[in-house]
Amino acid sequence: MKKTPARLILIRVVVIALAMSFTFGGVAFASRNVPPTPETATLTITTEVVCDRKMKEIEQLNWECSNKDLLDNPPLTSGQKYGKIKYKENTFSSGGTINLYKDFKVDTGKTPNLEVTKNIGYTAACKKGSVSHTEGVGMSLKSKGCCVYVAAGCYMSMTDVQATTETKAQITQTPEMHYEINAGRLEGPGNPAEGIISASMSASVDDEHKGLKLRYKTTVDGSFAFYEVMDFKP
Amino acid sequence: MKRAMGLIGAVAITIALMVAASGVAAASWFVEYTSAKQAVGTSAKFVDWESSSEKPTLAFGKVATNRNFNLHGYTSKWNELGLLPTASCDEMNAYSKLHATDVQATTSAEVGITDNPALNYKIDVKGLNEGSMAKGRISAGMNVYVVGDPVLSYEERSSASGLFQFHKEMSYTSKIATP
Repeated sequence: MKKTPARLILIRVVVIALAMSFTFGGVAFASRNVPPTPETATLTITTEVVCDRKMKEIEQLNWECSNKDLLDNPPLTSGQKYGKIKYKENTFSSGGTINLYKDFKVDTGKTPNLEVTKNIGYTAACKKGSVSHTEGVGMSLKSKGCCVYVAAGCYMSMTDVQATTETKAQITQTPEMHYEINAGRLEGPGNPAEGIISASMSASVDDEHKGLKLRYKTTVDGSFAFYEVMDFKP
Repeated sequence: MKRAMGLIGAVAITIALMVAASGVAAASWFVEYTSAKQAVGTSAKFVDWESSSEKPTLAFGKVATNRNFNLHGYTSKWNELGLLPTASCDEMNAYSKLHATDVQATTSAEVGITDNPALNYKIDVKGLNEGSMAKGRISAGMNVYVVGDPVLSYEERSSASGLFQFHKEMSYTSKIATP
């Protein structure tokens, strides 16, 4: 975990590409996906808001699937696979103008099973004006003798910012997760944003013979441009 | 005396405008609906249905354009809720609540339960003039609960107050893959 104290660095650019290849082989890990269920569901939500005072948005997704009877879980039977994707988001702005665009898609039959893109522009109109945004995605895959859990997300509390985030997760094909965040100031790329921001990813893989645990978090406080990409794939 | 008469006249005109406008609004709330069994409540604000061979099972839309024409300054006010197709253990609803002045708003909803369960809801709210913003408050969201395989729960809500432009489209479909 890294933390940059306020005002020590005026402009901070963080670029992280995190790709994990497991020692037990990409092919073996790819086969830990949960095949799509006969009944599939799609959800598409598009939101565009421009607001000069208060804006609030909450969102929560929980999706579970299995190649056998899901309602009879646990314990997992031999050959049974279980998968889960969770997503949570909170955005709140006051005392300024926010311009929010969000595109949220879930498809339980096609990959990526979850795809979210978001664009947040905010300018404070008074001293107490700010926007806060929390976003988190997690996915877990379980079968007898193996458990995989991956999570990524960000938190920001800003007074001036132009930020974009991109989230992708899939479990019905080769398990993968992608999280990307880019935050700068409204006037254009390269200019600093004001506030505090953090982005993180954690992964845990427990196999019958091997184990892997990873946690990574970057936090920046002050004026900055921030770019972080995190990928989990075999 | 003249002032009092003027005030009474203004109130009378306002009431007349409100009655006339509510009639138009009520008439335009339900563009189209088909159902085998239905119950339509006061001002067509409530619909109950069992089944239909038509697609979509239920569709309606609403358009409202208002400027301060009542005494309290809030004119365009609705609370739309109740899209609950129940196929197996699926339950979903989409809604919007609007309380605003100087507003132009459009909603549309489509629900299907007889084929693949589907729910589409759209709301677009802005100011009366091109590029202008509405004033007041709004919230819109969607809830989905599916119990079976897969298990899916989803909740989403956006709200804004002050001057705003608001556009939201929400869509849910479910289908069973043919072998």
